[in-house]
Amino acid sequence: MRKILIFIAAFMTIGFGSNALAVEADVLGGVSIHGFISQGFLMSHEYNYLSHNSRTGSFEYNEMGINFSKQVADKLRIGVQIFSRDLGNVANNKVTIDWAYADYKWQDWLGIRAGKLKMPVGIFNETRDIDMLRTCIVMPQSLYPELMRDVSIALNGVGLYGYVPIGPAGSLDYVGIVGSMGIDNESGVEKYMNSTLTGTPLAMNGDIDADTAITGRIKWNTPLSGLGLSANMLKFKAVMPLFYDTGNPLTSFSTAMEMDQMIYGIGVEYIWENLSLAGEYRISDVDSTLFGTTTNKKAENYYVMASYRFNDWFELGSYYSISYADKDDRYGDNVVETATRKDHSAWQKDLALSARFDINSNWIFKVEGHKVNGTSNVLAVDNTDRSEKDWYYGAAKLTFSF
Amino acid sequence: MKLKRLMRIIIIGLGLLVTIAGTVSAVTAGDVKIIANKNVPASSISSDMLKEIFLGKKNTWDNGMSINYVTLDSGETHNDFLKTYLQKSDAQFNNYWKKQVFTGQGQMPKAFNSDKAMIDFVAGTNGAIGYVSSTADTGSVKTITVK
Repeated sequence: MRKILIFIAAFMTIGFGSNALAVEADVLGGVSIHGFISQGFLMSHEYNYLSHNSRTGSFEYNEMGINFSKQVADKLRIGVQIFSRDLGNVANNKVTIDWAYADYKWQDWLGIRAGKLKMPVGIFNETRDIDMLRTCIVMPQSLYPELMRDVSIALNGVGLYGYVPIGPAGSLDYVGIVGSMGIDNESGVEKYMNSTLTGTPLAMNGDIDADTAITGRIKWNTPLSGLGLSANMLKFKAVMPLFYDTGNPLTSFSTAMEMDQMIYGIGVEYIWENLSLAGEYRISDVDSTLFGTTTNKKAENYYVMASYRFNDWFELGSYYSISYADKDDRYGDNVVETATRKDHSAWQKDLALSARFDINSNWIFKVEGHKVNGTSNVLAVDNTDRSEKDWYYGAAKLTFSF
Repeated sequence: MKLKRLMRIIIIGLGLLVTIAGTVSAVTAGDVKIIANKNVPASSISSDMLKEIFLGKKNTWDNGMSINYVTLDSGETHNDFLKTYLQKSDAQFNNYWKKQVFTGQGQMPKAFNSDKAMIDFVAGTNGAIGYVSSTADTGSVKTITVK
């Protein structure tokens, strides 16, 4: 708690003191400083969602970050971003290093980065924590699940990137990274995994140990101005320690599940004047091995999103996000129904409507509502009864950035 | 039920805001002059290259000199430049650069609040390129033609 208070105090001193500081790199020895702080409010009908207590309204929903960067030579830049977030009873404003790296841009078509690098898994993954860069408050949970953020957020490693014009066919942007993943159980991963294990004798029993991961994205900026098509992937192996509780301390034991996961997706973005459109499709293909038996599951996720900026201060957006826990069981035929769990736990379809108000260049206020059908991402650990198919939630958020 | 009613009120309110907001925006077109430091090894560039420069994708001139691109911070000339050459609004341009900044992939270009300040900087900085209104006195810099 003390660390976070110090972090906030420092942030306030720098951030609220002067927004001009954000661009005054010249007076700070060439160091640029930028930051943001978002405070949100979540409220839901029927289920606790994202936050464990959202049914009664939850302010445990924030993100804050501050970054420092410097162009140390013509082609060499270094930087670091410190980040903290809270989401219900996870994350809890633990201060982390979000990214930190040295970036050597040798040519326009080839640069190299080393350090902690954000993963390019999807169009918005690298900016998912930065509220002021989009219209919606809650990202489509089909592709950007908040509790599983740590599994796809950053790698400690090296990456290559570049920009390649391809004549009349447009241009290509690419990035590829190889490195190790640091998954913090307290970030939400443990809660999410334990929720999926509810009803079994298994529970997580320590940190996930992830092997070397590889990730990348290529984007084709088409000759049609504003239209971009992209493809991305992430591959990694991990071992998840588990505890098998037989109900008898003498016979209960520790074990582990090995996971071999491949995520691949495609995306499309189109910007025409004040209209922005985006859509993504992703398959998460995971082989899980427990007690010598391997099972395969492919989750299917996609969304379409649109936003329109009417003027300097007002923007309206909407998305429709769909997730299927198992693409081979979209209608929940294989779900073992109980009094508290129904076939609709096989899917979740979320229709969102968002409004964004740019109060000035530093302050943004947003409000949004969601109408949801299905419960595949509704956590058992926060909801003892998940029998209701249709439900609602809403969010509001105030963001300051400089 | 209360939440449903609240959402209905929000949706109706947003509809009203859309109606009001749609009546407010207006942009007037104007001429923009692209300027560069006199040692920049080009007198004309393609519109694609200009876009690459101001989106931070192209960082060196053909002779290896670093490109130092600068912008105006607001105004009609700024908006016209963004719309004509980058096909972006001011908000979209700012968002693009904020994305670079907050992912560590780039630094915001230096911005000036007047043509004179822009011209003075470009005139005194190797490899610099910027833009000003067509009526500005650009005797101390090179004017670049966009093909």
